[in-house]
Amino acid sequence: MNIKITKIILWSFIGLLGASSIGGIALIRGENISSLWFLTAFICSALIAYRFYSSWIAAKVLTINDKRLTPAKKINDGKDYVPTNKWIVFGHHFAAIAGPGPLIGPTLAAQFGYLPGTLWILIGCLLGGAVQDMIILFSSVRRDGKSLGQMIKDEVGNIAGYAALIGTLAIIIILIAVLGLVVVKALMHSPWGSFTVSMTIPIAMIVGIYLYHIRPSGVLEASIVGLILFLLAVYGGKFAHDNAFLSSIFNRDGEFLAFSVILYGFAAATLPVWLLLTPRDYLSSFLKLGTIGLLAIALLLFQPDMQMPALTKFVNGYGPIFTGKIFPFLFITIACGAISGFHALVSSGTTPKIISNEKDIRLIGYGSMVLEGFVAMMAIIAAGVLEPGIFFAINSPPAALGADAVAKINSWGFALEYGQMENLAKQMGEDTLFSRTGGAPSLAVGMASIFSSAFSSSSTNSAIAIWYHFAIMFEAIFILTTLDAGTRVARFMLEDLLGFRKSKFGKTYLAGILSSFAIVAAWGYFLYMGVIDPKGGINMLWPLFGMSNQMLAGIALTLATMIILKSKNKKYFFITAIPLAVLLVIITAAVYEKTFSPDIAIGFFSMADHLQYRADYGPLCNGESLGLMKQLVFNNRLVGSLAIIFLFILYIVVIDAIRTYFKNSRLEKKSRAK
Amino acid sequence: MTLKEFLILAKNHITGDAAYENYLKHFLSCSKHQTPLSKKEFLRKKNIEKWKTVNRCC
Repeated sequence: MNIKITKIILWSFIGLLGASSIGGIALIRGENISSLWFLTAFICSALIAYRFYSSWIAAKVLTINDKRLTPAKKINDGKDYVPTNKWIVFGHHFAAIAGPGPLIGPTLAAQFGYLPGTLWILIGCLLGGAVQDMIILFSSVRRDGKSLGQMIKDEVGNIAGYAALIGTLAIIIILIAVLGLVVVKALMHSPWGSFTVSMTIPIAMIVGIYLYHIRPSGVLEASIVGLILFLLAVYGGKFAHDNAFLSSIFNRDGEFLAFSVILYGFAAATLPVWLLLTPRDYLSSFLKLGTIGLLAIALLLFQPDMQMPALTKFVNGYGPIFTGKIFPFLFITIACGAISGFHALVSSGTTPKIISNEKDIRLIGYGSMVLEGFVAMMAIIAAGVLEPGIFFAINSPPAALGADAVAKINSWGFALEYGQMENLAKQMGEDTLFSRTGGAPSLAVGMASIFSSAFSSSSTNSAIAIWYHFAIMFEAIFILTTLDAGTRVARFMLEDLLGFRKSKFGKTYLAGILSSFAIVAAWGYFLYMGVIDPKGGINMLWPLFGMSNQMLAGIALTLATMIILKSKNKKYFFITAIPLAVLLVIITAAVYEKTFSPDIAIGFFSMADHLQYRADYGPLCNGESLGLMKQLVFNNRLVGSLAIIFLFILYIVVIDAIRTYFKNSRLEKKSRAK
Repeated sequence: MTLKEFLILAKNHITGDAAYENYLKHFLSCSKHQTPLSKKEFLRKKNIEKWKTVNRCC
C-alpha cells in the first residue's frame, strides 16, 4: 500500500511538473525563458505517455502476450531471426530510425518561433508517431516479420500494396535529394567543412579495409581509430581554411559540390558494401549516440536561455525559410521527430525479426520514437538559443535577404548589427555565415555555442570553431550514410519492380550498375534542381519531402487502423484513426496550397506560370538566362505534379482500406446470418 | 543483468561475436557433416544482407 501511494505521488508530481512546464512555454511572453523548461516539459510528458499511454495500448488495444513466441524465438534460424536482448534491439532500432531529419525539420520550423514546433513535437510524437511505430512493429511481429508493403497487400488490397510500393520508392528518392542538398548548402564555399567531409571518405575506407581483410570483429577498436581520425580531420580543416592553396581546392560552389555528392552516391552504391557504407555506418552510429548524449549533458549543465520568441510574425505566411502559413506547413516541415512514415518501413524491417518477447515492443517501438522526439526537442533548443537575427541571417536564402541583409532582418523586427555576422563567421572558421541554408549550419552554430559555453572555461576562438566544424561533420556523416544506404535499397526495389531477380540479364554486374545509375540520376536531378533554384532549394524540396513522409505515415496508420478493426479490440481503432484523420487534413491542405495557391511564393504551378510568362515576355532579372527559366518552369511543374501524385497515392490506400473494411463486414454479417 | 554483463553483451553484438556463435550453434545442430562458414565469411555475408533492406531512416 505504501509503495502504491509513493507511485501515485511520484507520477502526480511528474504530471504537474510537465503540465506547468508546458504551461510556462505556452504562456510566458516577453522574457527569455530557459531551455530547461523545454527539456522538463518533454521529459515529463514522455515519461507519462510511456508509462500510461503505451502500456494501455499494449494491454488493451494490442493485447500483448508475453507468453507468445515471437518469430525470433519461433523461427530462430541463426541468421535473420535471432532473439536479442531488448536494449540491444532498442539501440539497433533507434540507430535505424534517428537520422538527420529530427535535427533539420525543427530547425527550419523555428521560423515560426519556438512554441509551434515544441507543441507539435510533443503532441505529434507521443500521440501519433510513437503510436504508429509501436503498432506497425507489433503487427509485423505477429506476422513473422512481414514488411509494410506485404502487410498492406494482405490486409488492405493489391492496389494499395502497389501504391505503397511506389510511394516508398518516391520518398526514398526525395529524401536522398533533400539530404544531399542540406550537405551541399552546408559545405558551399566552406573550405574547412569540405576538407573535413572529404577526408572522411578515405578514413572510412581504411576502417572498411581493416574490418574486411584483417579483423571483421574488430569493430570497436577500428571505430575508435576511425573516430580519432575524424577528429583530426575536423582539426585539420583549419589549415584548409587558412592556407591559400588548400583553400582554393576546397572552396567550391553549389554545383561542383552537387556533382561531387552525386558521384559519391554512385560510387558508394556500386562499390562493395564493406568499403564505404559499413565502416561509415559504424562510425556515424557511435558519433550520433555520443554527440546526442553530449548535447543533452551540455544542455542540462548550461541551461541556456531561449532568445527566439514564442511566435514570430511568419506564422501568417511569407517566411524567408519556407513560405506558407503555420497551418499546414508547420506539420509538413517537422516530420521526423513528430510523425514519420519512413519509420514504419524500419519498424517492419529487421527489428521485428529480432525481438525476443512481445513485451519488449513497448520499449522498442514507442520508446525509440520518444527518444527521437527528444532529439527533435534539442534541435528546437539549439535553434532557439541563437539570437533570432542570427538565426534568420543564416537560414534565409539570398533572395529573401536582398542586397542589405542586415537592414532586411531588422525590418522583420529582429536585432542584427552590421559586422555581427562577420565576427561570428570568423569565430566559426567560415568565410561567411549569411544564407547558409538547410538547417545544418545554424544547428552547428547553436551546438557550438552550447558546447563551448558548457565545456570550455574561456571562450577561446579556436575551440568554438572546432565545435562548429565537428557539428557540421557530425551531420554530414550520417546524411552520407543515409544517402548510401538509401540508394542501395532504392536500387534493389527498382530491380525487384523490373523483375531483375528472374531474368538472366538482371543478375549481371552491368544490371546493378544500370539500376544504381537510374536511382542516382533520379535523386541527382532533384538535388541539382535544388541547387539552381533561386529561392535556395530547401524552400522547394523540404516541403515535398515532408508531404511524402506524411503520406507514408498516413498509409501506415491506415494499415494500423485496419489491423485494429479486424481484431477483437476494434472499439479502440480511434487511437490510430484520429492521427490518420489529422494527417489527411494536413496533407490535403498542404498539397492543395502547394499546387493551387495563386500566390507565386507558395504554389508550384502558379510560380511555373509566372516564370513561363517572364520567359515568354520578359523581364529576365539579373543572372537569369532563358534556358534557366525554362528549366525552372519544368522543375516547378514536376514538383507540383509529384505533390498531387503523393496525395493520390494516399487516397488510393485509404479508399481501398474503407472498401475492404466494408466488404469484410458484409461477409461477416452474411456468415453470421447463416 | 548487471551493467558489466550488459556491456559484454553489447560488445559481442557490435563485434558480431554473438551472431557468429549463434550461427555455429544452429549450424552444428542441423548439419554435422557440412562445414560451417568461417567467422570472416559469415560476417561478410551478414553485412551484405543487412544493407539490402531499409536500415537507415531520415
